[in-house]
Amino acid sequence: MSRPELPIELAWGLLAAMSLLWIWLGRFWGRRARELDGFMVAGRNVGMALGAATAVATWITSNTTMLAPQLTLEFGVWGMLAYSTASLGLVAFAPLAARIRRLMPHGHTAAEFIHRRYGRACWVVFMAISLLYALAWLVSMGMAGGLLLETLSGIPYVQGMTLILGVCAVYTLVGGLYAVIGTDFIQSLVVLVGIVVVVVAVTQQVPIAEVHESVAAKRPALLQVFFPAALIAVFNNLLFGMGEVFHSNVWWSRALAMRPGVGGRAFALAGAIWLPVPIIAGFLGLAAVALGLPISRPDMVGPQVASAVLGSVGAVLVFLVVFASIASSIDSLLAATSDLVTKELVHRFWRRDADDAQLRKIAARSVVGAALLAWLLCLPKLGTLASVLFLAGPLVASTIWPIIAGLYWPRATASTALVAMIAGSSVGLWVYFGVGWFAASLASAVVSALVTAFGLSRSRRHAPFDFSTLASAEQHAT
Amino acid sequence: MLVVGAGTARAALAAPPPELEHPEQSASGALLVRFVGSPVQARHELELRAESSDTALQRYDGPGPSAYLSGLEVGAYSLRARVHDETGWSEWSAPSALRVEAPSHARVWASLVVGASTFLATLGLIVFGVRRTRSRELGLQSGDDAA
Repeated sequence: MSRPELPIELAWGLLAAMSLLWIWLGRFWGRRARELDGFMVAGRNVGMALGAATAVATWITSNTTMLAPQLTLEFGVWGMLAYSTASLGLVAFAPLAARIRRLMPHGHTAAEFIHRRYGRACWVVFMAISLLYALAWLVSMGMAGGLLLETLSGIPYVQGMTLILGVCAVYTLVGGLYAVIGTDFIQSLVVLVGIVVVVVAVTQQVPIAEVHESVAAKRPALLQVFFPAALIAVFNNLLFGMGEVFHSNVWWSRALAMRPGVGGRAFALAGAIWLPVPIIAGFLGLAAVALGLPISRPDMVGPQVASAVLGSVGAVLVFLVVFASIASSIDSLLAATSDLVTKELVHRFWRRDADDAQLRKIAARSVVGAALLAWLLCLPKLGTLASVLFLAGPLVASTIWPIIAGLYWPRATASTALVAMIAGSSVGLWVYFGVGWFAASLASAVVSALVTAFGLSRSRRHAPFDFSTLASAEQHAT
Repeated sequence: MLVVGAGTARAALAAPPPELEHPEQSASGALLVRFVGSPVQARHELELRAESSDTALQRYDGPGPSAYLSGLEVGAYSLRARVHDETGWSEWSAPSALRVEAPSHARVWASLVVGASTFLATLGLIVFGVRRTRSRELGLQSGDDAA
């Protein structure tokens, strides 16, 4: 691959400028994060624009910008279309977000809902899934940050990874969810504008009709309507994405942080904004074919096209987009993981009598702890750690139906939810190792759905759950 | 003999051809081919032909250490490569076989049908849940109003 023309000095300068900007913005937006609710749920007063922007920014990871062109190059038009269906996770979560905000006006985490709705046993399984998934996502983002900065500019892996984790930890520590949501707004603008500028510049050089003609001549299979290898995984990936959004505290904390009446519309809008992003970014994969670029590494095809068309300006744009997209995910994960550790582990078991001021301090320390743990796991640069995120697919897919049933069906029982999550995860993992990743999340979701549906059909004899009990703040008696 | 001798003399001057490392089979028609034993920054040429044809279908001309090919139809192919250094092009490597075999249609349709059913059922559960909850809340509200 022809190396993107980004000198290391310029890369360090850009990193320094952006890092200072994020930290300053984090301090600015986070000045109201002195109280626990300010730190963990941004005062529960996030409006439509910031709410939609934070959902978009968090869901745009380095994968969205870097993997979409690769998937398009591998699976053709279906690659970009299949990736864009991940937006349906946000859209489908919209009504749930509204319901969560209404049911739990004083809530803090997804696990708190599971504990109060389904009890301790479900909570244990759910926490194991949540923490494994959050850590895997955090580590994969930290590693992606180090690797991409190294590839794009030559900044050594450890230095790039340390800087990106460190900067995100600093502004999350200073400003909590206020800082995360505020910086997400700017980061989403950087990412969206960057991608659009690159793609518009590419289409100026190779019009879409020419790209189509070239791909049809050189790699016609990429335009096939029936592309078996791509179609076989479409719904598996869709359900994986839904599981990610439905269970993760990253999204629940946002739902709880939004003003009443905002969450549903904000998530639906975020899904609509996110939908075309993989299609636009994926177009770069097809443009690479039309431009006749020698593709040495498929994961770097996006930067390669940007550099080929825009020279060093393209390399700078890609660098900014990558840094912003990774930071917007890492900060959200640090905040959400800190919430889980503070409220679900420390407050529930260790410091039951802690007041809000003490919990605020514990939450800040948890951000540092999560960042340090992620840094340690990123340090050895183990490629296999990234695959843990894919392994989490069947686990998170098993939570979809128990969560929906728990939010809307008063007679959904704890035993149904527990069996659904355990059976779904077990079958999904068995399929993952026995058949392949492309069917694991689907198998898990199917089993979990069948168990939940069976449980709901036999739930008439159970006493209904009183949803109004969720409205009060959770008490941890000493 | 003369021909072989000339070839031997040329081979002594030019770099040996790279060895190719790649999966023998691909389901998606895409694969990463690694060049082994050649300088990474050197210019490499990779040629892909359908087994039944003499015409090159795809050609990679760029630096190492790998080349990415995609968009291959189902079928059997052969790959060969050479590397360029200051003395010129190396010989072509020995042909290396590749098979593109897509998942069966039955498996794809089964995935699509089961996947679509699960996804639609999930959406249905949400929609039904929202409507059920709304009508219950409205019922409670009208009950309160009547009281």
